[in-house]
Amino acid sequence: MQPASKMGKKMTLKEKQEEFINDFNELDDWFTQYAYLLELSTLIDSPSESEKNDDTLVAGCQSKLWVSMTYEDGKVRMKADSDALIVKGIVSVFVTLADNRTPEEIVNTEFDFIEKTALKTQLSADRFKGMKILTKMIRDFAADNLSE
Amino acid sequence: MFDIENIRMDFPILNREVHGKKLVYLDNAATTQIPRQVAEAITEHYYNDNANIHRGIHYLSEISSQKYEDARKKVRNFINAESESEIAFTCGTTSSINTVASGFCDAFIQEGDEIIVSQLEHHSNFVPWQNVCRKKNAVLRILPAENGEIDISDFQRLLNERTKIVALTQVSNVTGTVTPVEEIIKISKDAGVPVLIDGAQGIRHEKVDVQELGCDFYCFSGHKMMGPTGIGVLYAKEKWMEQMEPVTSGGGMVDKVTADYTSYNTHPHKFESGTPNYVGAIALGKAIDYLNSVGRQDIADYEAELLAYTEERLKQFPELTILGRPSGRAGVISFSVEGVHPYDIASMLDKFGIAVRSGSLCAQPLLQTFALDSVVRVSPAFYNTFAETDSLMEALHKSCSLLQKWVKR
Repeated sequence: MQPASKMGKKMTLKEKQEEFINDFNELDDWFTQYAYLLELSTLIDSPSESEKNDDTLVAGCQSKLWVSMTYEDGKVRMKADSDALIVKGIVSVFVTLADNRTPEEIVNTEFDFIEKTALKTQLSADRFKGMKILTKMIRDFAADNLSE
Repeated sequence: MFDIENIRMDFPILNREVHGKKLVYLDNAATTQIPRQVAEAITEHYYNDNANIHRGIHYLSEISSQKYEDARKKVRNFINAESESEIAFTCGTTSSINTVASGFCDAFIQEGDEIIVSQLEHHSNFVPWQNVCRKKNAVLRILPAENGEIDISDFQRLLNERTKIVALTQVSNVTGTVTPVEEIIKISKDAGVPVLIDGAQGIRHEKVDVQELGCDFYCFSGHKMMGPTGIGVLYAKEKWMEQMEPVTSGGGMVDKVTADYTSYNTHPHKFESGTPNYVGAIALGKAIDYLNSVGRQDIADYEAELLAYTEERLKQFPELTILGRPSGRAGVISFSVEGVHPYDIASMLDKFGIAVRSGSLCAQPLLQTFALDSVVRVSPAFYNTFAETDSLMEALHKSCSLLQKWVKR
């Protein structure tokens, strides 16, 4: 899942996640991994200042993390920002995968890229739990917007 | 001066690698590492002498009980308490403070009474008192600490005829401030107000003499002084041990139990309900032996030098702000770097094998006075080296350079 040029919109969410897992696992060292995530974080949309509020603030993070989700034209739209770059980098993977996807596709995909990459060791048990909460938030939002 | 290389050999964990780099463990304020001698004492007890204490009459029970009480004697000597009956084993500092917050306050705090804590406090010496005040409709007075320093005149202004207890940290786990405990205890004593000292950080950095200090309560944890986790100490003057009600009840702390009535064991056992962490206590005794063998004053002198060196190096780092400007600092230095989040700094340092702490350090009220949510904290111990401080600085430069480049994008 390379930034910009390789982000094929025709890939399914599962395929895109698989591509990320493979690409990330090929990165040899943490330095390159961080650079990858930080580059990815520059490509996602951030909530505006007025969108950063108690409703979009994700509780339980050492840094501030805002995640806003809307449902527009049959698609889930997602934006995120954090005052910690590495947190934003990791959350950017969620955004890159879930943004502009249908609720059905999100609900039917297990977000397991953290468990399957070195990100699992980057995140302490507490932070990992925080990411699980974020996963649930995304899936719950998608579930609430499933078409009849 | 002691031999640092020999000392480091007593701590096998210091030789391990993290992310392919040699571990530089600088998070001792969170927990210290234990020497082989303490680890071996734990194993030895389980392999040879283990049995529950103060219950059976068989040989192993007697040995185990004796070792537990020997550990209590060692703690008594370590802090120069007057008697072993003033030493209760707990799970740690938090548990000790909560025991007093409940046991003392249930008996002595009424509506409208006041409790003084300082702005420097760890949550464990803040929240229990806040809870007491909420339950009893009492007033929590917070002694300010501008720039991490306590002004005695502020304390004198807060202390009044409704003050029933003062709870104060000996050393701040954020700014490293060594608080003026002796003066505060003297002023409080003159006013007839008891004082609890949170010694979680202080216990390792200087020789503690509770009789000389004159405090009414002193609390500390084993795992912050080269002992294991899950064991701590509550020192309380005899009169408070007698008057406080136990917080938890059950086996081991009772004398007679009938369907209608229970009488308690004598102190300190009435504060040790259930099976205590007797192996932890025995290991704590071994940690005391170890610190004594290295030399308490040698440890204090070395750590003071190392911390001063670390502070000097950090001060030279551009855009770095050290928290607090106390006149005396021990054990820890916390800082922030302009435009770079502490989580990011700590994450990157970790990849260099360097262990520091980031976050609110369980001291949100204190961080709020600096208008911060989180900081980075470095806390060296006597097994850390000056070269490790240099490694920290090198890694800090590399980490912040990279992060600051990304922040600008």
